[in-house]
Amino acid sequence: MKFIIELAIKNIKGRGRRSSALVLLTALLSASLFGGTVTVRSLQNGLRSYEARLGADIIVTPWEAVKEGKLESILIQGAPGYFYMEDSLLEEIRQIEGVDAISPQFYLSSASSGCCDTLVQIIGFDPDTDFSVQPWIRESYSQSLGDGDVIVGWNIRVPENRHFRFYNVDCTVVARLDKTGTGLDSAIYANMNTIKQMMESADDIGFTYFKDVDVKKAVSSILVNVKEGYDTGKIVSEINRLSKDVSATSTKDMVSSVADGLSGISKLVGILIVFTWILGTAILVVSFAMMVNERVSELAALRNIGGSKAMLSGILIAEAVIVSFTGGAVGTALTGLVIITFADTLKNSIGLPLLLSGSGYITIMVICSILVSVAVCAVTSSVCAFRITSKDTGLILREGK
Amino acid sequence: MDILAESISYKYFRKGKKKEAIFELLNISLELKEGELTGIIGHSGSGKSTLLNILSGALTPVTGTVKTKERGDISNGYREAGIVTDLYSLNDRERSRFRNRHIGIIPQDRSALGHLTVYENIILPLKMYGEMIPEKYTEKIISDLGLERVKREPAVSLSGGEVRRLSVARALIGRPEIILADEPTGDLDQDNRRVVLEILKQLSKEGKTVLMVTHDKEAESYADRIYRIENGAVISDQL
Repeated sequence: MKFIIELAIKNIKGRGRRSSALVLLTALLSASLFGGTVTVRSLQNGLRSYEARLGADIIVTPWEAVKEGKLESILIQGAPGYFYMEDSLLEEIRQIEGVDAISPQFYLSSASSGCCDTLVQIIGFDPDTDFSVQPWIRESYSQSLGDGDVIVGWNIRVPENRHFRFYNVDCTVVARLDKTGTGLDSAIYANMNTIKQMMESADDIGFTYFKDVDVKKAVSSILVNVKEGYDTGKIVSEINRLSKDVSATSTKDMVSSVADGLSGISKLVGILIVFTWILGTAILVVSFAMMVNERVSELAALRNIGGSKAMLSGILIAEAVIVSFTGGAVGTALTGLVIITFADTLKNSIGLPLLLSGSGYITIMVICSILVSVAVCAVTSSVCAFRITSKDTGLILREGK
Repeated sequence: MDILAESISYKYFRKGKKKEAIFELLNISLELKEGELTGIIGHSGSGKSTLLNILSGALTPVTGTVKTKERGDISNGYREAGIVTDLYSLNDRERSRFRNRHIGIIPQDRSALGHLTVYENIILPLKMYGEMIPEKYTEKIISDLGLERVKREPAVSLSGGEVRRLSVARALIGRPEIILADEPTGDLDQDNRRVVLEILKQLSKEGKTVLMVTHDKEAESYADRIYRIENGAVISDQL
């Protein structure tokens, strides 16, 4: 065994260009498998996280926000935005039969001018009525959020003094939320008093966010939970009948539109993986077959000096295993690096939430991707090795000539 | 160790013509004796190399047997019966090990592993089964065959004659009892031809069984016994 491995390594080193080409090919194969599955899995995680974070049955926003896709832009891509409507609808919605709970939310984009430290999305909620934000805020911060306190999303850089200033309102960072893979990772959360103070200050400074809406009565969205047994669709219709300027959307519909996008991407990735593997395996078969044919006299020499058929097959298979293991490791490592580095770019370019899987899943996928590459190469080279070693040495030499 | 080949026949099929069998060797019997340098001569395509491959256990004959027979031990004052090994009754692993331990083959074609150095190529038969490398003996062979200068060079950079000498060195490294040489003087200049032939002659004098397939008239003169093959059959056997 020692001889087989030693000779296999020398053979690989001795044929640098060919070995590098095979390493590159197997790297490509493992990269496609690893990259494809981890990306799809991360998109699925993102979808689950997105669904969980919505935390309501219905979201009511100004019609304009729906038309321009502002809500999805904030929730999925983390692009700072704002939209407002009068809070008078709150009472009207509460009166609809089947509505279990409602709570307003406030979206404010900080400014890049001197009144604000950094450009982020600020989301405010009413602690007394909220049922959507606080349950998962409690996972990171068990106390109630006081006035002037803020909780930051995973991606927000916090200064050393843990203080931010938005529209001249000073805030203290009290906690950081876990990663969600959605736009909410780039947001800052504050209670209603704090965000109202910021909104009024922004209005005073002269920011024209509120247009015709009275800043004291402005809300961005109303989250609605439906009582059990009631039809969400009917309540959505009833809310939409209340005002032509607002739009109620079932969160299930929002999630399913994201899921549709994800399903399309998953299919595309699946097809790409299958296509790459079919093509790659075909190239491997041809490469190994050519390699064995070119080495007929070398293999015959080994047989002449006493190498058994099993030993020769062992050398060829060991070469394939070492090359494919190296390629597999290189492919998964580089792909992992690319995914980690460009996860946010990918999320923004495809417009879907993306939450990278945990290290356990990644480790399993690294091992699986390398193992599959190694197995395919080992089987392919075994077939070629069997073809050549099943013949007598004298016959191999005669055919080689 | 003697080699006894009995009723050896070998046929092959032309590529793509499975029904057209051509007999390359027909009912050949011969004996290679310990301490003798045997030559096999004949025209190209007469079946000389095929016969050598069959005698080395590398090509299974259609009919016949190849047996090796040890002369036996005379250290007790009387000769004990030697061990007889029927090469083609062994399985591949056993036959390969037997070839590694007892037979040194000098092939006709360029058969070095190009990316290994000359030294690595020469010691390959010993490394293959994890045996000790006899450094002094290795250096002597390398020196006798004039390979010191290229000892650390990759075999791919060698000339045809150097590869031939490398093959000779590799065949001798395991001190085999049987040497089978296929055109051992091919590619060699006059001086190196003599060196190789002298080595083979010396080996036979030391009690090795040496077979040489050759076209070379000078090489023939070194042989103790000559088999002439024509159209796959032995037509003469002369001492």
